Amino acid sequence: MTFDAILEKITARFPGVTFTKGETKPDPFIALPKEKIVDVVKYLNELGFESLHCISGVDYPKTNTTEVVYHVASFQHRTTVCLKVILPRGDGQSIPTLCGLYRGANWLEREVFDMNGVTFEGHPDMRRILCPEDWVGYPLKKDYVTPDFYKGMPVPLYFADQGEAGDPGQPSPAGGGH
Amino acid sequence: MTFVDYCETIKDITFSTLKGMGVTIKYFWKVNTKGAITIQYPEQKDTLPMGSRGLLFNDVEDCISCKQCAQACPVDCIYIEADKKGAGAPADMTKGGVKKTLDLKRFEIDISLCCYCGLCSAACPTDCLYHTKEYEYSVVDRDKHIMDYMNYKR
Amino acid sequence: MATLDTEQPLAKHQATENLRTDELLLNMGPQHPSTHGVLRVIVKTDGEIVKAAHPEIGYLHRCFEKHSENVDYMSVMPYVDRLDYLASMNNEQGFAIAVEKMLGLEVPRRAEYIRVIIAELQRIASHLMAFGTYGLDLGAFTAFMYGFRDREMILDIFESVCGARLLYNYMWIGGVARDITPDQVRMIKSFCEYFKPKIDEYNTLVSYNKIFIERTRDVGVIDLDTCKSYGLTGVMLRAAGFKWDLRKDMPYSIYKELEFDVPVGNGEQGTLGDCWDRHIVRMREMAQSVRIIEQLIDGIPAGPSRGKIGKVPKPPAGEHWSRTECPRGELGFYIVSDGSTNPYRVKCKSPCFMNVATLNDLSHGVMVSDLIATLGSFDIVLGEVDR
Repeated sequence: MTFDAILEKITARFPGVTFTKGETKPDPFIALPKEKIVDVVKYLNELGFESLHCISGVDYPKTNTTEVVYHVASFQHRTTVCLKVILPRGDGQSIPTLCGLYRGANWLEREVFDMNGVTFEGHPDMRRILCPEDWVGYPLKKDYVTPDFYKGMPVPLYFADQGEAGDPGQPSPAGGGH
Repeated sequence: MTFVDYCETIKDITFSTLKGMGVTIKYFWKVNTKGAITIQYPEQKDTLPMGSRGLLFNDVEDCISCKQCAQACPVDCIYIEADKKGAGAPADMTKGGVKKTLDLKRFEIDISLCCYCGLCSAACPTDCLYHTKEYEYSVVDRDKHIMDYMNYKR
Repeated sequence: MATLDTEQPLAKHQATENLRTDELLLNMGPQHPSTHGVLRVIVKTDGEIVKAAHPEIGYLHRCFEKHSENVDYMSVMPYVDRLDYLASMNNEQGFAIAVEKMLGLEVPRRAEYIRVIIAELQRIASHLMAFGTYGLDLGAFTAFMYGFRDREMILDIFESVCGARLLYNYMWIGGVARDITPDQVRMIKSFCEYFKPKIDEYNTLVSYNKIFIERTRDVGVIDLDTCKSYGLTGVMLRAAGFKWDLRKDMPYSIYKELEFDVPVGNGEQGTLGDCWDRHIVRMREMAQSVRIIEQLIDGIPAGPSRGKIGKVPKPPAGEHWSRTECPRGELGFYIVSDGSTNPYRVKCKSPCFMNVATLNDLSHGVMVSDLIATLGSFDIVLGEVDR
């Protein structure tokens, strides 16, 4: 099943909803409004796309958007389709959860919340997953500033931020604990 | 589980374990002190294969201060400082015949940050930065792990 | 006995109100030998029966995705090594393939051959480790020794090929870092000769041992629906009886020219998709990997081992989602490029991440020892779960 065939089928199934084809190379994507994401993934499941492989969040300060990217894979068609929900950038964006369809969505969505700060409506357990519970900020936002200290412990700094070569005379606060 | 089943399981366990023991016994007879694999480490050392990636070494005589290694380094642990040569300075060549236009002032590598990935030595155009086979360089003070290759003594 | 019906004791237990004791909250980990790294599982137990097990991850989080945004594509490679540190070569292959696809780069055939040979060797090494530590989890120490003996030989080959023993940085974008020599080809050949009869030996030693079977059969059953719901891949999916291997079904590199079988679980000793099935699928995959290496090792074509590529690879703006078959499942990389030297975003979807997520579903009403057996059969590497 080619990408265009999938797009055609989805457009036919949901009249009145705008599906935009994103012409990125090498993989194209389908952009859709956030209200429809659950229905579309459910419909794709009926089409044979039975496996939700990945949910990622990408931050674009330039266009002032945050994208939540879904990769849904099919065993019988041997292909993956990429769905995108484009949200306005800022705090407290939210998007419906897929936990009702895929149990695997639980942790994948928690990771997106942890890293990009997108909340998933109706998620049973919306907590941080990789960072500590009391971590401040969302690390994969492009304007994220690494704090110097976490609970009195120095946070290892990435050396490139300190100019080209760092300063070996004064090793980083953690003593080079990369 | 009936009693018969239970006895059957015990029998299976005994026989399959004995079969497994047979595998071990086969190796048991092969063991002798001559064929021992364990090396008595500090006294006896393993020979590392060609191209093993150990401690980095830079031959500063051949270095043209191009900073390609520092750029390639994923953890940024190479610190280079170089000045332009004075107008009257004598022409300086590397062993490979590349003209040195810069005067190397400082070449240091923080070995405790180094991840031994080999990207820097691959990027080096004059092959003066390379991995040696040395692997014993633990120190008490972390600062001593900053290797200064301008006045290098080991 | 391990064949205790897992459902029944809990029901009985609950019915006898006067025998009921308080629930115990048990903290398994983060430093626990049987969790294969720093995984913390909060286990709620009622006597010997587990009522719930909540895995808490993140103890080995090293900001792979954030780091990747700050370095160029070549420098991401050493970080990729550290995701799944028991199968670094497979990780590297996955990332290299993803970036090459974005660059539109054709890899020389010699490099492809070397890559597949090395990746399959790594698969054997990884499965040997899984086999060894699984024995250790279940109390069979001998298996560990045998597994490590043979893994050591593979590591020796890798050390001679690329100079490192664990974190290789060998498969670079566009090819491999160093060519392999006839000497190393001989080493790989003699390893294959040596290793072929060993798989049967290990099966006699561990897989068909009755104690091992009793510990693993009907334990931690994951059926196909659960697999699909969680997006599980690799060994977990194949053990559930579903014949799906990316190397066969969506071939990348030169896998479509190769002949090999995809072993699937068949519920030989108990239920389909139990721990024993997962174990035996790994054992059988090792034999297939040897088969692949033997097909390739004699016919490595001459030519360059690295394609023509600039010093700093610069993929055009765009995005790509790539999957490759790693020992633990399908490793996915979602790379967004904005046309600069550094990746704009690298998302790594690790197979183990989903494997650990299933643990809570599998833990209701099982014995504590069965929970360990289940966790061991996932063959998790926390470096990959936490990234």
